Amino acid sequence: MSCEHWNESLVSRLYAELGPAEDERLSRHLESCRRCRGVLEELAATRTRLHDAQPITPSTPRVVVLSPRPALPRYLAFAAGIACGAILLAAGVYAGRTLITPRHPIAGASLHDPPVVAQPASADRETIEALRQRLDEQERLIRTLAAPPAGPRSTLTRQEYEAALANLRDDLDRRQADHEQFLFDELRGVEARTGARIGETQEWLNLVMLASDPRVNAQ
Amino acid sequence: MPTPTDEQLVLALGAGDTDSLGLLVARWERPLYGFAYRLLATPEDARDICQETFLRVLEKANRFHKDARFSTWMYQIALNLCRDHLRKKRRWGLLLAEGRSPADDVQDFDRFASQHDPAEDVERRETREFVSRALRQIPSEQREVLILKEFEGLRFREIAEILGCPESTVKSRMYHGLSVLRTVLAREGVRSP
Repeated sequence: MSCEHWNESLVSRLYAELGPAEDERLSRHLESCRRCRGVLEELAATRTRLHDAQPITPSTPRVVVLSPRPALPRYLAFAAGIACGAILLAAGVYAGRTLITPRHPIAGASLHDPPVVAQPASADRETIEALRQRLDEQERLIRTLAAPPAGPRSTLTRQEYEAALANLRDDLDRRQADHEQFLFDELRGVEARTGARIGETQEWLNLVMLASDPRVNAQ
Repeated sequence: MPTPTDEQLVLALGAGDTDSLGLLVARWERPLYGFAYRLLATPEDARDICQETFLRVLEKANRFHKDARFSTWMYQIALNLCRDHLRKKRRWGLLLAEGRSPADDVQDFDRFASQHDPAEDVERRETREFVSRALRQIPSEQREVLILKEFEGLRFREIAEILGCPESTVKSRMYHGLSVLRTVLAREGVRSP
């Protein structure tokens, strides 16, 4: 009689997953069957060999875990949504009135006529003037900051000044890296939420990370 | 406060508590990576599968059944990803004559294994290489069972759930996998202990 129907029981015995009744039945069978005793010994020897020489696994890489940003309270998110909507609506109305409605009628104009340039209304002129003033102020401020602090009142040496500038540059690099990290997390989040595969591999995301590394930029 | 179980963590993840994913990763990153590495044999592929598995866990956490086991579910995801990966690799391997073949991966794997510990004695290193090669010569469905049972330590019932087949089929594959492995090792001249 063939012993093949005992094979599953032999495997279960090998891993100690045989129920008491079945274990008892197998023990009785093994007492009288040399073939099954031999098979069990061979399976055990192969298992030991496999276990002792199991392939080495290289050290585990760091798995990127998406870190969620703290969510706004619901009422704040709602208020922010309303505010954003209102701003967008106002901007749309303003743009529509400024760009679509001609300040000067151009009825009868043909393609061959010289282009008519709309003159800004007085309110617009005031806005433009105010913006220009603010830009001028900012430019003056930048020039003041960028100039080396020469003169009798300055206590900084040239080296200290350059060191401060280098610190500022490093700080900007760090902020850029933070922004890139944020972008990276967002992309992974979009992939996770939508199920869409942005790239077949993560290689291009690694490039984004690489580009955000200040040391790479420095080279 | 008692430590949350894997199942509690994944249910919390499904309910929007994304911090739970960090704990699941901390618990399962190493075994999962080891599993993918033993099936795919290249660290880069194993890393990709590992990350992709956790992303799928995040994505599908809200569909996790409360009576299911997390480990079974996770290995199921990882195994499907590994199979897809191997299928694609085989297809491209046929199209790109100049490309890498699965044999290259075996060589990489052996090279890695032999370089991993220079102090390891020669005989042991050779045996390890033989076993690695032998594992890759047995049919994939038997290899999956061997890896899940021997290296991941899962019970036959869990493996059956992961593979979606009866427990008796798993035991049969295990029996034949060990028998083929024994034959291959004997052919390579690896003595029994």
